Amino acid sequence: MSYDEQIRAALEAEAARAQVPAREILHRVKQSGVRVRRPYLLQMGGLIRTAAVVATVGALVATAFWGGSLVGKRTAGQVATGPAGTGSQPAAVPEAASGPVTAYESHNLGFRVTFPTQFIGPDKDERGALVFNADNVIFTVERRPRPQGQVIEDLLGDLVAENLKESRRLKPTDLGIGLMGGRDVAHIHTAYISAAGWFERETYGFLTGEHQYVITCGGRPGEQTAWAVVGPICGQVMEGLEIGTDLGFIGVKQAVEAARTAVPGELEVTMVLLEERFNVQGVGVQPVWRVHVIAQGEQQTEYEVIIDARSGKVLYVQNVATGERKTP
Amino acid sequence: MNEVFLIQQTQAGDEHAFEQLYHLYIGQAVRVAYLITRSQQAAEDAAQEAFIQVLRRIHTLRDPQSFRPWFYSILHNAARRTGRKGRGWSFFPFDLLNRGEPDSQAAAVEEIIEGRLEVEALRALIGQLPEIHREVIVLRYYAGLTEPEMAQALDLPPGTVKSRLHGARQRLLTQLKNQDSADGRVHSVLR
Repeated sequence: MSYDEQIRAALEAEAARAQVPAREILHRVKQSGVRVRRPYLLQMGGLIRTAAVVATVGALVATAFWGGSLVGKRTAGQVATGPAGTGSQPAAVPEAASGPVTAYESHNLGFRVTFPTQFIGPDKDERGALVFNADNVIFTVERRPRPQGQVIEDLLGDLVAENLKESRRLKPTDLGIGLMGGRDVAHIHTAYISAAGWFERETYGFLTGEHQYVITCGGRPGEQTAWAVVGPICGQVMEGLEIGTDLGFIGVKQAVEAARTAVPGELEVTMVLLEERFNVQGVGVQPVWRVHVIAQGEQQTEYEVIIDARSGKVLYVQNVATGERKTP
Repeated sequence: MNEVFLIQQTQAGDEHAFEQLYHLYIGQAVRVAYLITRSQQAAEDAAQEAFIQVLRRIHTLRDPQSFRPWFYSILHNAARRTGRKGRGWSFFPFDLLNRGEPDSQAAAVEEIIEGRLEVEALRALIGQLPEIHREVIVLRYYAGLTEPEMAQALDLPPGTVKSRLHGARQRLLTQLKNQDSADGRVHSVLR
């Protein structure tokens, strides 16, 4: 048996261990609700109607309420970026807002989000939330008045209650309070489990002086969309979300760039988190970026690069497998 | 039925054609994803995600002839994602206890046994390859993609694919050699 034949035989022997539940997988694919997109011309009527509605609502919302701006690919009739508004001063009036966007900036709120695919928006739902959508995935940002004396734990409780109210089957599977962008952020991952599959979403909430903000990414309400579809998109949206940049922290991109300078070679960045660390440099609580990377090469090596979130300085690089730390 | 025809019909929105296309590819898709992710669950998830992506994006496929590498590109990305969710891959079980010295006196029998042992050893070693090497081995030797098709599927320059494949083969050979030296046996492929 030749070497190539032996490799093939080894792979076939191993692959034979896999079971192929073809019917079940096909059933789940169908349950995802995704259909082949019909030829473009057939969609034009719907596209034009959608564009008209979004243009009107989006312009009003983006300007008067959020002072936001659309960035990225421009399509006919889409907004030009307006000057930033600050505080209660909204941005200058964009001409229109419609069509696919690849990024959105809210100057009032101080967030910027980069979308992994062509999201449409912003639109506004009945609660006043900004809604961006693409296929079966939605991304919403909602601002509400902050009840007097409300603390982040209260907001977390409210978010749990809201999810339970929406559907008894929509259970929080993971929840807690963490630090993101220098703010305490309540986080809930909820799952709606049905015979047809999973319907999941990520919700983040945080507080400012007068408002509470709720950011959500997940399947469209009422639709059961497999997490296999929603998850990767939500993951990318959340990774592309930068809030609190007004607090003097470096952003995600700068953190990734700093990590790249600390670990030479071709890198795959798999996770970027803003965290609190204690006594990294004997300074008590310190906000840091934790960037998880995989160095490509003959052998893949995983590292975590810890970066001072304020100065952008790399504090140390840790080999995940060995635990060995190096300080640049 | 002709695969190209099925692809064209699927692009036109024919769900029945999609199902036929699905059944043509699902077995291979789950097994390839299994070889990449090393997990039954992750493999099923990857295959499911890949076919959903096919539905979502097949209208963008200009040349139905290039469906195969296009599909493996989607599958490979899906497998990477689903495989990483779980992490902590379980390597191929490799029962070394059954790998004692062959006691047969017959050379032919010994050769057959050695051949099997080599295949078993390769199974284990492929499981320990870094992901970038395992992918090219799986796509080349199991999925049967050509190097240009692999380049398309992996979104890499052809030269990089060639060098990765060479590196993976060399790595396997070296490890086989080391293993056999430790066992006091000489590997037939290295003779």
